[in-house]
Amino acid sequence: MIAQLRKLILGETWTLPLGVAVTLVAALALDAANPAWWERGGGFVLLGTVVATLVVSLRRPPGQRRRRVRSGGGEISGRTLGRATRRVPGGSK
Amino acid sequence: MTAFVLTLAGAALAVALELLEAMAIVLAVAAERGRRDALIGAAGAVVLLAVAGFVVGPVVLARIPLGPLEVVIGVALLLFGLEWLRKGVLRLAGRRAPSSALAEYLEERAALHALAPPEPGRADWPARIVAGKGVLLEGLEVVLIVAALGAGDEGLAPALAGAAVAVVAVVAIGVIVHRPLARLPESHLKYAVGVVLSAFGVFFLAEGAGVEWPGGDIALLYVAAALVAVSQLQVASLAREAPA
Repeated sequence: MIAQLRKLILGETWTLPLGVAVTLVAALALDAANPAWWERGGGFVLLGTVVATLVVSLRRPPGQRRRRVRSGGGEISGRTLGRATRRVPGGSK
Repeated sequence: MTAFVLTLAGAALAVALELLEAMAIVLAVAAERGRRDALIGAAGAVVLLAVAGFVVGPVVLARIPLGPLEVVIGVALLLFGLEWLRKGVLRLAGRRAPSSALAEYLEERAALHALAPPEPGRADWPARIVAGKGVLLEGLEVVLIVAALGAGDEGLAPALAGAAVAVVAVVAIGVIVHRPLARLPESHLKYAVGVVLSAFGVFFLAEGAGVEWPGGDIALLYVAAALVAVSQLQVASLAREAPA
């Protein structure tokens, strides 16, 4: 139950909470450093760090690229997905 | 107006999808172990969720000043939104099993079928716990998302209206399951919720940190458009990488 609650709030990967934490710290630091500039352009800096967080969270280390990560709704390697879609007509659309 | 419509749509979609998953679990318990125990488990979870909603909304969020509050709800919406968006991208790229409440229903039934039934006349606690836990976990996300969306400038009205629309829609679906459930494009809907929640997260976090968005609420639209553009590029890129 605790593990499921942690997954519910922080998600399946640490990359997203870490990226959001970095975004928050960057926002507070840049606001303190140059409030006038931050007021006009800060939103786009935040959007950029959030987009970067998303992109990084979708990248897997090279060693894991071909590995089956998890069953039951987890991520699927290309090879496994290929086998599954060959077995099930119209599967994995 | 933009914020009102997006809050309503985001809340309706997020609540509907979470309720759909909770309903799949409760229906599975009802079909496999009996309606009474499924409803008792679900009702217990609803009571706990009402307490959680009271604690999160009127007790905690209502006491935080506007600036820090926007930062808190921005962070919360980003944590939820980016996770929905990440999973949505992986699903649309074929890197993750598609989301399916119907599959969850069938899996839950199979798991419950393996459990020994209770002695006649005794309460079926495993069934109650499975139904209650399913409703509690899915419902907790609903409480947090609605509270976060409702803490914005538009107030609770659009978030609650969206949630009400979702409840009516899900109950209507519940009356006529299975086939309509199988036809729902859940992966695409969850991806859309991810975009909306993440856009609100960026918007509120920036406002709470002292940013003045060019165009005011219209910023929600171009932030959402940027997230759609980047995430669709990621879908295309991951889909190209997928075959071995």
